[in-house]
Amino acid sequence: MGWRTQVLLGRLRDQATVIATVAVVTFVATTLLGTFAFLLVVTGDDAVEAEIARVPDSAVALEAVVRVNKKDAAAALAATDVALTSTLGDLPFDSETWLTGRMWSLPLVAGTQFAPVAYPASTPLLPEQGELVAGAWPDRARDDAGQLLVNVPDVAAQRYGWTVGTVVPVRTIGGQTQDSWVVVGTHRLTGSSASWSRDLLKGAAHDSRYPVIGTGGRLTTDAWGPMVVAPDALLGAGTVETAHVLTTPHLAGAPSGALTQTRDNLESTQARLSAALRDVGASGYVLTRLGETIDASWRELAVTRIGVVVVGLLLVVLATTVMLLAARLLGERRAAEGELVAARGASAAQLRSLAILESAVLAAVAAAVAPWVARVAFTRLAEAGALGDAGLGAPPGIPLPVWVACAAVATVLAVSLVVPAWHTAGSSSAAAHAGLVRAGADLALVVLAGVALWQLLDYGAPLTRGPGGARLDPVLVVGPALVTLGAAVLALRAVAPLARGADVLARRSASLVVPLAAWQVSRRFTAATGTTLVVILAVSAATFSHAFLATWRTSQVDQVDLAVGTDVRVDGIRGERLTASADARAVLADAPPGTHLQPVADRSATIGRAVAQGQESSGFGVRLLAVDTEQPGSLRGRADVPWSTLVRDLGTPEDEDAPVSTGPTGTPLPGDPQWLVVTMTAGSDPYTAGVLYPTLAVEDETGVRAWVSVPELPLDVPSTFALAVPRGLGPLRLVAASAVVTLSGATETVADPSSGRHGQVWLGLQDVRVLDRAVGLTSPDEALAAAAAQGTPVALEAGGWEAVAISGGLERGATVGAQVGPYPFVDDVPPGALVVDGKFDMAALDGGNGRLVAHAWPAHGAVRALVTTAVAERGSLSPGIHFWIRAGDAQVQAVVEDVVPYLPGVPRGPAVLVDRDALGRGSVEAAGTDPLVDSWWLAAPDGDAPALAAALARAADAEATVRTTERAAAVAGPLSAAIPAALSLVTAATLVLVLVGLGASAAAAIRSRRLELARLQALGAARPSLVRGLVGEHVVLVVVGALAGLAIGYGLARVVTPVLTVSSDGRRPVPAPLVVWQDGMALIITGGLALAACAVVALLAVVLVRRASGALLRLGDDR
Amino acid sequence: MTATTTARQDAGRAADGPLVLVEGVGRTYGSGHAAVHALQDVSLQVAPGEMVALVGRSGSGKTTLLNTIGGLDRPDTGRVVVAGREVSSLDERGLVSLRRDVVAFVFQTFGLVPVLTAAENVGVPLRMLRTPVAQREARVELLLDLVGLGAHAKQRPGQLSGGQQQRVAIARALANSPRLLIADEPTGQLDSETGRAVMALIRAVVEAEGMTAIVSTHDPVMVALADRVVHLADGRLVDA
Repeated sequence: MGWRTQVLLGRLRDQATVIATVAVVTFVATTLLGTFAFLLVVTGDDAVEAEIARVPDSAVALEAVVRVNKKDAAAALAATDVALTSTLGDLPFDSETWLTGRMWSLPLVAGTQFAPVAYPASTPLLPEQGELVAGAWPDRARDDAGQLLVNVPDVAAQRYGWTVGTVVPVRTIGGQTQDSWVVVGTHRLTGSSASWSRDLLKGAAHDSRYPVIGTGGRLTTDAWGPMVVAPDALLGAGTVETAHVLTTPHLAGAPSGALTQTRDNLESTQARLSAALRDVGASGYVLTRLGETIDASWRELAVTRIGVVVVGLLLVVLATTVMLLAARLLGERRAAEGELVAARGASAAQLRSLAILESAVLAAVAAAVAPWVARVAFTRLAEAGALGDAGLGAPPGIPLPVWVACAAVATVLAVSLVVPAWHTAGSSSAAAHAGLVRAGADLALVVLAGVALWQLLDYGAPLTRGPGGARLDPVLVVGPALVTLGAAVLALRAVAPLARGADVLARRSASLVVPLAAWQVSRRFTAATGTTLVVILAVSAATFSHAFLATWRTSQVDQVDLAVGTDVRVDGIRGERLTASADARAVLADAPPGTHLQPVADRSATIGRAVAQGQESSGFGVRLLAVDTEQPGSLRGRADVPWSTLVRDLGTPEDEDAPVSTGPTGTPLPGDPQWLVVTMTAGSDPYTAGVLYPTLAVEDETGVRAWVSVPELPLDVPSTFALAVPRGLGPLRLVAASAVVTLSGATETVADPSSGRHGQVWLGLQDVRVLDRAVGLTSPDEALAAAAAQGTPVALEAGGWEAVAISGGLERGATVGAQVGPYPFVDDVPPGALVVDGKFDMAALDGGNGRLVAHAWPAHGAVRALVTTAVAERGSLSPGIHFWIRAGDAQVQAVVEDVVPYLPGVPRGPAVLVDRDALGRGSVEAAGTDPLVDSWWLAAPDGDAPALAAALARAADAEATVRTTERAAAVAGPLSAAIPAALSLVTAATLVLVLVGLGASAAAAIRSRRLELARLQALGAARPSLVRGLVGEHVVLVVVGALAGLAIGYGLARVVTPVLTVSSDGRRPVPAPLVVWQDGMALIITGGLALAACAVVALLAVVLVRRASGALLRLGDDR
Repeated sequence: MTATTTARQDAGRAADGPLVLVEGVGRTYGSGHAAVHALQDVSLQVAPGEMVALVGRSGSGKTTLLNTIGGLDRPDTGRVVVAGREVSSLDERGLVSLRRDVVAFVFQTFGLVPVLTAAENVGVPLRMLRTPVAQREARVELLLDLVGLGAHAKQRPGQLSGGQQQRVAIARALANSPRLLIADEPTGQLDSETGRAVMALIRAVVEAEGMTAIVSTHDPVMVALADRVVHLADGRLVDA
C-alpha cells in the first residue's frame, strides 16, 4: 500500500466528520445539477414529440393532392404512398385517400339546354358522415353486368326520380365513352360543409350553377355528387381526376431521432412526389404544416432551455462557493497535519498530488452515484409537478448528457477542493499577496459582469439567430450568473464598512456576547465573507428565480392573451357565412350568460394613402382586423390604454354631424326565408343595350351577410327570379342591393350632343315575396310557381335607403326610392318597389363596368381605424390622416383614429383594426360583396370556454383556439414545463445548498475557534452565551448577506428578467414583459433561507461548542 | 481595587479556613488496561493568601489537579471545595459563577483571544460581569499599567511577544479580582529571563491583590517564590 493510500485511509478514519461534510457538499451539488441535466435532456426530443403529439392532426398531416390526369390511379397512388412514407421514415402513420372521378354527363332533362353532370367519388368520411336514406352503400365496383354501383345524393334522386335499382346511362363530357350507373342507394351527407372541403361540391351535393365546360363559366348547369362508389371502382386508368392522400403521423412514442429525420425529409418531399408521379404520368403537390410545427417546437425548446441553463448556472456558482467553504473547513482541519507532514520532508508536489488524488476519488464517487439519485429526484419532481402533467417523465436509465453533466460538476467541485490545498502546499508568494490577488480578481469579475450585462441588454436575449433559427448563445447565457457573482462581490465590499461600524459600537458596549460577534465579523472579515457570499448568492438566486418565474408566467399569459385576442377564436371559416353563422349560434343556444359571439374579419389586406380623388399611392400589405367594437370586453391582451377606450369611437362616422344608424337596418324578411322571389327591371336613359348583374344582401342579427345573385338582367327586360336564401338563424333583413352594369353600344347613343356623355341607369325591384323554408320547395321553378300563392309580400320602400353609382373609380350621384322617373317601367311600379337610379358616364360603361348600389343605412363615409406603429411608420400615417383599405372586392376609405403598438390577435407587424359593421357598410357602399367573415370570436367564461370552443369548432369544422387552454400550454406544456420545474427546483436547491454551506461554514468557524471558546469558558463565559455569540455572529452575516442578496435579486429581476423573458419563438415578447416582483414572496424566501441558515448554525453551535477541556486549554492543540 | 472585592477578600480571610480543600480526589482516564490513573487519593488544603507551587514530572497529574480545582475537570472520587463551594458537585451555572467570581486561570499558551487587543482581552472578564464601560476602561488601564503594558493596550496578541502576552493574560486574570489564581505552567513557553519576570509579577500581584495562587511549574525560580511546594508523582502527593 502506497503512502498516499495510507494517508488517505488514515484521514478517512480520523477525519470522518469533515470528509463526510465535504462529500455531502459534493454529492448534493452534483445531484442538483444532475437533476437539471435531466430537465434539459427530457425537454429535448421527448418534449418536442410530446408537444407535437398534442397539436391537431391538421398541423402534422401530409396531404398529397394528385392530379391523375386520366392515367392509372393505382399507380399514381402507389407512387404517392412511396413519397409520403419515405418522408415519414420510421414514424407510424394513418393514411386516408379521397378519390374523385371525372365528371360525367347525365341524361339531358327536357326543357334544358345542357345536360346535368355528376361525378363518382370515394371518400373515407362515409359511411360515418353520411345518412343512408335508402338502399345500401356499394360493396363492389360493378355488378355482374359491368354496371357501376353508385349511391347517389338523395336530392339528385328526388330531382330525377331515381330509386334503388335505377340504371342511369352516362357519358363522358365531350367524349363518346359511355357507361351505366346502377343506383344501389341514396344518402345525405352530414357534418359540416368544411369537413367536405376535399369534395368537389364541398359536401353540398348539388350546384345549380356549375359552369358548363367550354363556356368560361358564362353558362351553367346542375352538378351532382358525390356519386359514392367502392374505392376499387376508381383504381383503373382514366377514372380518377383528383386524389387526396392524407397521411397523419403518430408522434407519441416515436422512435428516437425519427422526428429529426422526418424534418430533414420534408425538404425534399415535394421533389420526390413530383418525380414519382412524373414516372406514372401524373402530377401533384404536397400540403403540410408538419415542418412549421416541428420548427416551432424546436424554437420553443431552445427558448425553454434558456431558463433552465441560466438558473442551472446560478446554482453552479452557488455550489462552487459552498464547495470552497467546505474546502476551507477541510484545510483548517488539516493545517496541523500539513505542517507536520511538511516538517517530515513531504514536498509541495507530494502534498498536491495527495490533494488531487483525494479530490479525484471524491469526484469519481459523486459522479458515479449522483446521476442515479438525480434520476430519483427528477422522477419525484416530474410526478409532483407540471412535468408529469405535460406527459414528461424520467427516461429509462441515465442518459449520457446526465453522466457528462455530473462528471463536469463533480470535477469543478473537486478543483474547488484542490485550490486551497494547492495554495497551502506551496504558494507562499500567493498567500503573501492574497489580498491584492483577491482585489484584482474581484475587479476582473465585476468588469466581466458589466460586459456580460451590457451584451445581454444589447442583444436583448441570451439567444442568437442563425440559419436554423434561435439558439442558445453560450456566452450570453452565462451573463446572469456573472452579473450575480459580480454584484455579490460588490456587495461583499460594501459589507466591510458596515462591519467596521459594528466594531466601533461593540467597543462602547458593556456586554461580551454581541460585541464579540461583531468583532469576529469585522476583524475576521475575510473568513466571514464565505458565509455572507453563500447567503448572498442563495438569496439572490432564489428571489431572482422566483421573480423570473412569475414574470415569465405572466408574460407567457400576456402573450397568449394578445395573440389569441379574445377568449375563443375559431379561424378558417369556410362555406356560406350566413349558414355558418346560424350553425355557430345554434351550438351556443344554451351558452351561459356572459357569452358573446361575433363574426370577425381577420385577413391580409392592402392599404395606401389617398393622394387625391382618383389618385392613390401604392399600397402595402397589412393584417386587417374588423371586430364588433361595441363589445370591447371581448378583446384581450394587455394594453397601456384599455381597448374599450381605444375602440370606443371606431364604429361612428368620421363626420360627427353625420346621421348615425344604430341597430338593425333594412327591410325585414318574414319567417325563415328560403326563397326570395323578386321581379327586376333595368333601364337606361338614353336608351342603350346592356346587362345588369344584380345581387341582394341578406343580413342576420350578428351582421353576417349573404349575397344572393341573379345570373343576368338585360336592360328593359323585366324578369322574375327565385333566389335561394342560404339557411340562417333568426330574423333576416334585406340590407343592400348591388348591380354590376355593363352597356353595349352606349358610345353611339351618347354621341348625340344633345345627351352628352352622361346618362342614367336604373334598377327596379318590385313584387318581392318570401317563401318560407317550411314550405319545402327545392327548386327555383317550384319557388316561382308557388310565389304568388304561398309567398309573403315584402315592401321595400321603407328602410332609409341610400344609393351610390360608381364607375371609373368615381362615385356619382344616385337616387333611390319609388319617386324616380319618368321611365317606361316606373309607371308600373307597384307600392313596395325599390328603384335605384344612378348617374354614369355612359361611354365608360360601354364594354366596362359600373356599379349601382343601394344600402339601407346612411352613408358611413371614412371608417375610423386603429393602426399599428408599423403601419404608421410605413405609410406615414398619424391620427386624422386618410387612407384606403382594399378588403375583399372593395376599396374602403378610412381615417386613422389612433396609433397603437399592437392589436388584439395581432401582436406583431403592420395591422389595422376597424369596426366590422363600419367596414362592412363601407365595403357595400363601395360595391363590395365580400361577407367579411373569416373567424368567430367568442367571449365566454373561462370555465365554459373549452366546451363552447369545441362545439363551435365541430360546427364549423375549423380550428378553435381557446385562450385558457393556450395559457395552460404556454406555462405548462411539454416544451415549457421545464422552466417552472427548474425555477421551482432552484428554491429547493438554494435551501439545500445554504444548509450545507452554512453548516460547513459554521463548523469551520467553531472548529477553528475551539480553543478560543474553551478559554472564554475558563474565564467565566457560560457555554450558552458562547453559543448565542456564535449564532449572533452568523445572524449578522446571514442578515447582511440576505439583505444584499435580496437587493441583488431585485436588481437582477428588474434588469435581467425582461431580457431572459422571450417569446416562444425566441423574440422579444409582445406585449413587453412586466417584471413581477412580489414583495411578500421575496421576503418569505429571504426570511426562510435566512432562518434556515441561522437554524443550522445554531444546531451546530449547540452540538459543537463543548465544555472547556483542561487538556485543550493547556496544550492549545488541535485535539 | 473596588470596595466589593476588598470586602470579599476580608470575608474570606475572616473565615480562617482553607480557601481550597481537596479531599481524597482520584481521577482516571480510560478504562481497563488502557486506564490512566491521573490522580489517586489526593488531599490538599491551601490557605487564603497562600501561594503554592505544584511541581512534578510531566504526567504526574499537575494539570489534572489544577483542572479539578478550577472546575475544568471532575474527580471520579473525593471532593474539591473552593471558597466554601464544592466544585465537584457544581452544575454548569455554578461553575460559571465560580470562574467569574472566585477562580482565574493563567495558561501556558496565554489563552488570549487573537482578534482582540490587549486592552480588550483584559476587559473580557469585566464584560462578562457587565461592568460599566467607564469603570471597565479604568480597571483595564490600571491592570495593564500594573503588568507594565500600558503602552501596548491597542496591540493584538500577534503583535506582542510571548512574555507580553502572558502579562496580558495575568492582567486579564486579575481583572475581576479573583480569590484564587490557578496558573498552569505559566512560563512554559517563555525563555528563562522572561519566565522569571512573569513569575515575579505573579508573586507581586498575589501579594498586592491578596490572592491565593496555585502554580504548576518546573521553574525553580517559581518554586523559590512560593509559600509552599507540593510534589506530585504518578498522581499521588509525595509531600504536602
